[in-house]
Amino acid sequence: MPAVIDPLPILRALADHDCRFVVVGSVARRLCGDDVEPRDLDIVVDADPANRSAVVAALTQLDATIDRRFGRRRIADTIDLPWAWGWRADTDHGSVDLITRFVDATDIHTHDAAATDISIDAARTIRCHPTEHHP
Amino acid sequence: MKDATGLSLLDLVILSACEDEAAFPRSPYRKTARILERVHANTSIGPAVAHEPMLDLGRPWVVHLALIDHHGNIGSPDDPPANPRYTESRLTALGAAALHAERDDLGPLPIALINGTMASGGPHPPHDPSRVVAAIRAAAAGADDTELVEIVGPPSFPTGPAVEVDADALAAGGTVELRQRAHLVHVGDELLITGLPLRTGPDQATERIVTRLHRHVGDLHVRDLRAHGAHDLILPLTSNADPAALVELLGEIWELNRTDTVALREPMADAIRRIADDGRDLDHRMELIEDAIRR
Repeated sequence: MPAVIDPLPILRALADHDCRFVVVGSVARRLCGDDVEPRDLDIVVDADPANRSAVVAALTQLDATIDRRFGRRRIADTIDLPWAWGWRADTDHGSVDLITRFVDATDIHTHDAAATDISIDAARTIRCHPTEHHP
Repeated sequence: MKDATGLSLLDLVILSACEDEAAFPRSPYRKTARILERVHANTSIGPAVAHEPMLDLGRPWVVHLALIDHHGNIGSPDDPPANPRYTESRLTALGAAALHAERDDLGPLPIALINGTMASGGPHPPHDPSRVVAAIRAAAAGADDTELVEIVGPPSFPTGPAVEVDADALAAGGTVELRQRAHLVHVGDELLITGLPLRTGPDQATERIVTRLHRHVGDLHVRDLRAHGAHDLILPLTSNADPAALVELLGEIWELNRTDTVALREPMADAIRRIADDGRDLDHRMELIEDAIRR
């Protein structure tokens, strides 16, 4: 896995699959102009089953993997993903933490309410909430 | 192992660190990382060593009775937990009581008899908590050793696998083989798999099932493994599949049918009687266990 994150290919894949997500953490801060060096991509995702399927489809397109106790598995081959709180996927572009709820009880509704639209290219706009991902 | 609860020294060090950090049952949760730092400061046992044992004290798929109440992503049989910076913990009422028991402020509690030590690599199998409480109450009422062993019954795991063991030899203090076997039930055109053995996750089991069955039954596939709860699996059967043959094949998979060598620390009746014969607040101690069962 790369030591740094290249978030744009991951964000494009998520946007192309109509995933509902909000970018938080250092990538969101970077996209909003802060001078930080992100090491991974943190996104808050909607835990709705339809959205989960869209996220899995996007990550499958990226040939992402998840590290399980019994070894690393391709997302495409993994049936029971740990959605209760979230999980980490690894891609050729870097690691992405998919969070469904934080320990402080915030979830996508909280972060979406405070998020702003950011254009990542001519065709795609994503939601960003430039906060630390764990207050 | 400590006499009053049967807990390991590491377990007690972790519970004690929760207390040092004021992570009491009705207090706010404390950062798990902070409690692990306290364990490190008190004992030189590092967070990397103590983290999983600490989480195990509150994981419902590992123990019948939680001694620590966790908040956040504590992992699953298939998945690692979040970094301890992102989770919180505090003692349960029973966890706090265990410390009191070890300090001799409270009579003994049958925690190790109920939770066992197999999850941490020990030899002691877990038992049904309600049956253990019933046996202790029966002992206090004068039941004999045979009756006590019968009331407790064979070992019982939180994830609900069938258990095959020489229960009488185990109860007498012997070292015996114990088999945990997932339930394989053929219903219509599906094979339902429930009661996975301790520490076996559904995805891990799925991987082994698919590998095994692909070798023997070409066109069988796995459809929806979460249909009946986190630890239950459903295998759709093809029209030419022989359910009896599949059950036999699945029974050969270690993740569904595993054997361990187990032993109790002392004969079952002695352990029950030692707790029942301590005159201090038996009803209160049993109510603590019953409250923990209901949570």
